[in-house]
Amino acid sequence: MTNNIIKKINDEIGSLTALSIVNLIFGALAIAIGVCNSVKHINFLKESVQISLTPVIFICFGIGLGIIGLYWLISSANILDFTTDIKLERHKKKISATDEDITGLIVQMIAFYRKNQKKIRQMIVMSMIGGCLFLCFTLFSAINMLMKPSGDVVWSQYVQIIGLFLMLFIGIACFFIPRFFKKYASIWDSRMKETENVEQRLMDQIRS
Amino acid sequence: MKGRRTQYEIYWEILIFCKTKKSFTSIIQHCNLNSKIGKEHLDFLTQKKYLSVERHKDRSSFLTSENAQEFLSLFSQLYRKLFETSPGIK
Repeated sequence: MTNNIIKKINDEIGSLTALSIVNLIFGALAIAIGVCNSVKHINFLKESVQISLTPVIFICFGIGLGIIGLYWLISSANILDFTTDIKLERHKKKISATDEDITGLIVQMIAFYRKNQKKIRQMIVMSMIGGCLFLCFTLFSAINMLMKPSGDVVWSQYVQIIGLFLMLFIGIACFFIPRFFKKYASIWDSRMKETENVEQRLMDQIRS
Repeated sequence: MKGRRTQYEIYWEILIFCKTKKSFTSIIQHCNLNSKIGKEHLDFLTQKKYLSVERHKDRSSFLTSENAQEFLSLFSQLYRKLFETSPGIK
């Protein structure tokens, strides 16, 4: 039974670590793409005589992506920090994991979820908004590329197409990532609901 | 410990930490509590006789008593059950 709990804890921490690393990468990519495109179109806007709507839309998308990316990055780093702490603790006590150690780990995980419940829900929404922005950005860039061919050498166009596919991939991934967070959140929500009964029983015991 | 804990989780942490004699300062440091809250919890646990206090001059040390065993085992049993009954992530 103890091994079963340890396995569950290890699995959950492992999944959460992998998920936060993926999110960290996507957050960083969102910032990079957002900032890069905003700066590129701000420069374009500065140099052009007439103000056109296209660069303004790109700048808005870029700023939106940058802000979401930053939030994403910070939230993922926060989760990664927690999972790393737990992993280190588990590693230290690998040989002699007593009942107290396991209960301590469970308490730690519950306390973490209780504190970050809101943040995890926000990450689900943010990831979807990020996905929408990435897809709109891809679509808008593709239309722009088709309507205004740059006349650059062929390899440069290939690079642009690769960039579009990368953004499309990230955009689609942004809709899949929340699924894992939703699964994680639903399991933990049921546990949190159960803790209310646990608290009641502990209160009864302590007052008896 | 990071995160938001309930009072029962804090009681458990204090009682486990005090299985060997501990000073007030070490308890509040280990359990990440401020002195006011820490004193309230320690007073409650002492009053419940879950903790015994030894006073040497102006310093007090706390030790978990036998009376706390029932609470500790129930706590451990209930919290482990939370993980046993729920489905896993994978």
